[in-house]
Order: sequence, then structure tokens, then C-alpha cells
Amino acid sequence: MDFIRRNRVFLTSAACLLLAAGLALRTGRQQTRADRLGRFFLELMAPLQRSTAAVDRAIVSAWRSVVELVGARNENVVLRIRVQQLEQEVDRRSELDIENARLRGLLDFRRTLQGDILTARIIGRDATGMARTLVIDRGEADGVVKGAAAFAPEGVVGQIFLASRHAARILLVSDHNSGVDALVERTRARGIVQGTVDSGCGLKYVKRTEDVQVGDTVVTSGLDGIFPKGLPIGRVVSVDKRGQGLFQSAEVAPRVDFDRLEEVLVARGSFTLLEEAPAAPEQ
Amino acid sequence: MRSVLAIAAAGVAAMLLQTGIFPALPYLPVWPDLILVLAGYLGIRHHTSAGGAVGAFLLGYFLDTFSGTILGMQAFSLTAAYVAMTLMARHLWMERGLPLMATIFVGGCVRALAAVGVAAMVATRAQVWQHVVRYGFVEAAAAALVAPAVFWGVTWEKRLLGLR
Repeated sequence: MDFIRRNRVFLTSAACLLLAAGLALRTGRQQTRADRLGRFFLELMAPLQRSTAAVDRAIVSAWRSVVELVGARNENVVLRIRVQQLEQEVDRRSELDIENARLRGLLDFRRTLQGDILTARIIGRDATGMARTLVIDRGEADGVVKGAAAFAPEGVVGQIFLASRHAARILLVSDHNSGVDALVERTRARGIVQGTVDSGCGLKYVKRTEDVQVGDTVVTSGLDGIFPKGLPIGRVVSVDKRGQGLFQSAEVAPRVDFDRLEEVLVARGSFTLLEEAPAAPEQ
Repeated sequence: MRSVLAIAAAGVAAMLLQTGIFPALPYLPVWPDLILVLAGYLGIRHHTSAGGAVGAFLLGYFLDTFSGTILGMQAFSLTAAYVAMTLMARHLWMERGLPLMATIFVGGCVRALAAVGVAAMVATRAQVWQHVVRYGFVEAAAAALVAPAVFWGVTWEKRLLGLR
């Protein structure tokens, strides 16, 4: 009796172990269970588990919300980057379209010319406001020589005045050091187009007796041996007959917008216009 | 009686957590077996009473109702774990901290091996063995980690019921 009292815990444990093993052996191979205590436990827990299931659903729902929120945030970042990329792509394509149209214009214009013509890209402008020059990406290696004519579909641009191996500088027709022999297209009155201080051009040395009117187109005469005859230079915007001298002068607005110019054509040697007319609209 | 009530309430709460809340928590491959910790509580705090063994058996039976198909497997393994933890508690003094966690860990290991033993008796050893090899130690470690909190919870519950 004393043995039982001293070892009651282990004896009870042994009995429980035997009972559990017996239960396991008896029910182990059965597909179903019918123990009353199990059914009682199941019944007891059912309402509580139903309540827990609501908590469970709330947890799952909250977690899904967090996951979706994080996912949405990440997706937002990705989409923002994508939008940026697409905007850049649209800008790039838009730029390419504009460039394409410009180059197509140049190409069309080149078809109206006979001679060795080179297309050059403008890569720089005058470092100060004191002169009007451009830098192009073609040089002596491409056949560009000092004195060569530079022009655009709209008209005369200027003249190469300095050339290195892979670059050259153009003195614009609007620079005050420039001079181009010109004609008033309507009356064939001759003069010299020179740059003025205020970024325009002046038609000088035109006989006072010649008929020059506002709106007349001024073109190259072809006599200077640089530009072919008939290349547009600009349009007369004012005529000055003041003074008692032999000549009258006129202010000429260049057809080419030098500030927006991006490509020019450079003549390698002499060239001629196949049709003597302004080939392209004003910029 | 109130002590039995406290353990029963803790068992119900543990079962609700194990069957409802833990499985819903994401990224939790294993979760602590709180029923094992309760059996450990009985083994450590009630190691002189025969009621502890019956309590462990009933907790195992309770677990059997909600786990697996073999009735008696959890009852056997939890009783075996209870015996192991009782033996340790008789030779070691522990209230909380690392010795308590170590005891629960050992109980978890014994419980896993006992489950394999029962499974072997009813010819489904392979599946249980694979689970024990893969997760047995991790589950025992998880139970050991939460053991101090569970012990604190049961003690608090008993105090609430006016026991000690």
C-alpha cells in the first residue's frame, strides 16, 4: 500500500500510458472514430472555434490588406518609374519626329542643288554676343574648307571662316564682318548684304535710282563665287533713302532663324541651284 | 476543483489558439504546442499529485480530438512527456527561465519520439517520423520559448480564481 502511495504518480502515468496505447491500437486502423469524450470535446469547442474563426478571418483579412498595401506601394513605385520612362520615350520620339522632318526638308532641298553638298550639325554658337558665328561638326577631314558656303533650305547661313580637322566655324550672314553680293529679286537691283549690330542685315550700295520696296526678297547674285545665284537671303523690311549720296540702303530680315538652326548644308566646291526660287518656307 | 478549472480553461484557450489563430498567421511554418506546455506545467508544478498524470492524459485526449486520426496517440505522447518532465522536476529546482525552457524542450522531444512509437505500433510510422525529423526539434524549441509566458498566464489565471 505504501508502495502504491509513494509511486502513485508513476503508476497513474503508467495506467494512462497503457490506456492511451490501447486506444491507439484499437482505433489506429479505423477510418472513423466514435469516442464519446472526443465528441463532447468537439461539441464543447465548436461555438468557441466559430468565434475564433471570425478572429482568424479578421487576421487574414488584415494581413491581406497589409500585403496588398505593400504590393500596391511597390507597384506604384514601378509604375511611376515606367511612366517616367514612357514620358522620356515620348519626348525622345517627338524630338526624333521633329528632327526627321527637318532632315527630310534638308534632303528635299539638296535635290534642288547640283554640286557636292555636305550636311553638318551645329554643335556650338558664338562664345560672346560680339560676333555671330556657329560651330559645326564637320571639318577638313570631311572636305570642309575655309571660304565654303553654308546654307539651309530657307536660305543663306554664312561662310566657313575657320576649319580644323573635325570642326569648322561659320561666320553668319548677319555678322557685321560678313558681306554677300546680292540682288533684289523683283527688280534685279544689286547691292551687298552685310550684318548689322542688331542681329539683322542691311542691303547696302544699292543705287539710289533702283526700285527697292518693303517686302522685296533679296537673293544671292552669284557674283562673289561663293553662293550660287538665286539663293534667298531675306526680305526687305525698311528702305532708307535719306542723305544725298549715290546709294540707298535697306534693312533686310534674314530668312534663316539662326537661333533655331540645328543643321546646315556646306558646299564642297562650287554648286548651283537647279531652280532659282526659294525652295523652303521660312522657319 | 478550481485548479482543474484553471487548467481546463487554459487548455481550451490554447486549443483555440492552435486551431484558429496560429494557422492564420502568415510565415509561421511551425507554431508552439501550448498543450504540451500545459502538460509541462502539470509535470513541474503538480509532480507530486496523481491528478497531474490524468490531466496530461486528458490534455492529450483533447488534442487527439483536434489532431490526427489515431485516438490515443497524443494522449500517449503527452503522458510520456509529462512523465519525463515530472522526473526532471523532481531532481531540479525550477520556477522560471532557462531550466524551465530546457525541461519543456526535453518534454517536447520525448513527446515527438513517443508519437513515433505509437505511430509505429499502428503502422503509420513513416509519415510521423518524417514530421518529427523535420519539425520535431523546432516545435519543441518553439514550445520551450513560449513556456515562461504560458506558465505566467496559468499562474495569473489561478490567482484570478483565488488559488494561491
